[in-house]
Amino acid sequence: MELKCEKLTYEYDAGTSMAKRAVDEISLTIPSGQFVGIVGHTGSGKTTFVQLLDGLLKPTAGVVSLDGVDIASKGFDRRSMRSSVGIVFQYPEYQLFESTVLKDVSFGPKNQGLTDEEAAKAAAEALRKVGIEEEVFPSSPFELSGGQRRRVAIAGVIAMEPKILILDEPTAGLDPAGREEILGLLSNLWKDGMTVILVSHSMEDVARYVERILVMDRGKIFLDGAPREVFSHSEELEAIGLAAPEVSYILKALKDAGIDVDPTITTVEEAVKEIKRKLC
Amino acid sequence: MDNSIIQTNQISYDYVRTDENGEVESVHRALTAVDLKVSAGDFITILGHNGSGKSTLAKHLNALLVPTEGTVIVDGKDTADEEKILEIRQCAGMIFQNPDNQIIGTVVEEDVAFGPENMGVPPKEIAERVKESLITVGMADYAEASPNKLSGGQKQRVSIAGVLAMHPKCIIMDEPTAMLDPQGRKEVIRAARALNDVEKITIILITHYMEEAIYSDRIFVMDRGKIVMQGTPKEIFSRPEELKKYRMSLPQATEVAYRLKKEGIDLPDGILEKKELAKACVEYLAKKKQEV
Repeated sequence: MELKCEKLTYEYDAGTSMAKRAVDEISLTIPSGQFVGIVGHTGSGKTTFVQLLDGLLKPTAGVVSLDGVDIASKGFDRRSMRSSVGIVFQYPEYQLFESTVLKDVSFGPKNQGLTDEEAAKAAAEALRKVGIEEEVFPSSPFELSGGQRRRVAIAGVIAMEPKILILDEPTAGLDPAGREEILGLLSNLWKDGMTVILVSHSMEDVARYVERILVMDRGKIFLDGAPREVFSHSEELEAIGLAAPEVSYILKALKDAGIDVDPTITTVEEAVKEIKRKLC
Repeated sequence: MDNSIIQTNQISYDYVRTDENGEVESVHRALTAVDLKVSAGDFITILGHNGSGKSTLAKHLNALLVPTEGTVIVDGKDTADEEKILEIRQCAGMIFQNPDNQIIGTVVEEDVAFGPENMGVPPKEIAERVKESLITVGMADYAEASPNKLSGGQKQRVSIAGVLAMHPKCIIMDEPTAMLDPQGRKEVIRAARALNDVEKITIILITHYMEEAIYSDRIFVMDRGKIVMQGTPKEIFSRPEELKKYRMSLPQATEVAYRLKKEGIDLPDGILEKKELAKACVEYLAKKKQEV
């Protein structure tokens, strides 16, 4: 499913003297099956932008369309939205509310009109995808660890089988192993054909996993490209409160010390290969 | 002489869940026999996976929780002594993860003044303390700004100024950077290091970011309510397999060095920073040249 926005604009307190433009005339296309990272400092408009993509906010101006259909138009079936675009908010585990894990994840599919049995089946499948074992299904969500709760919350969205999955900082507050689990899970969903849009404060994570990075600053797209390309602009990124992944600074330090490594490398794996080549 | 500012002696803590009749439903032991000793002026980091007991331990250090067993002594005072609670909280301030939950004033300087006002500090001195604290965290230019116009890193620094204005000897920071962008993270860590270096305030930092731990004097790693590793950053990050077992990772420069070593390149242990790595690589090349 292709997601497209044209001159997408959103103003808080629109029409008043307090109007603040959070998203400013963004036009771009996200083709089906792409893994996209969105980065930007706090307040750059990331969260507002993804809420527009998901139809949770109505644009002040401009259009969001799915496979060419404007989601604000009369012809668009709003009910189908949740099976097209799923969104996982920040700290989604705070929204778990049912008495068991399975019931919680079944809630979305039931709302889509599935029978209890069908919903439970969809929920079980989603839980399997996020790596939650069957023996945990009857537990209360509150008995789980932080990382498990986060994965259950993500399963709640996946169970509605969206074509496009948007996640707003899904790894915030997790320990390193928990972060890896979530990112590995997203990578698997993407390999199975889902479009994944990941909002993140971790340059290391986006460098390692996504195909395309959108850098936001003051409501606009500041840079748009493959990780290597985007992170080659490290000084511009620093000027807007971001950074390149730590490993590219490591390579720069090596280069400054007289070892001729390629400083545009952005992942640990590639860096190790490159340094080894120069040392052997 | 004993210069410890915080000392926990074999503390254990149980979260007890009761039903509506007050009967005990379940008991979860979050801390088991934890001994932690922090010397005045130290910068220590506590690492540990989600649910390992870090935050529970942190809450014991300024008497937000009192241990089920054992004792916690802060600046010579037992946290179980209710009469000493105010003194303890003045001595050991706390910063939490979400800056938005900690700011209450509508103007930055008002927010920073809240703590000393509550302590009954005379108004003239409050104004001085507020000014000083904001200068220390680099937020003096925003004294009259509205907190909700600030970035996450700036808000967190205002929270730190609010604690500083109470003139604490020690600040406990419970994942202060978890919700911040890279710039905000840098600002907060820089502020914490400056407080430690310049003001000699003891810092206890809890974090999931390994890079933030490399400047501390000592690191403690927790797992299932116990302290399972402790040592200098060099010592701790020289034990990658063990860290992985506890769901931790390595600082990036250490990770690169570790993987190069595995590939047969003989680099020294305990590399923490990019400059150390660059130096070690240059030395490796020089040595190899000599051998040829």
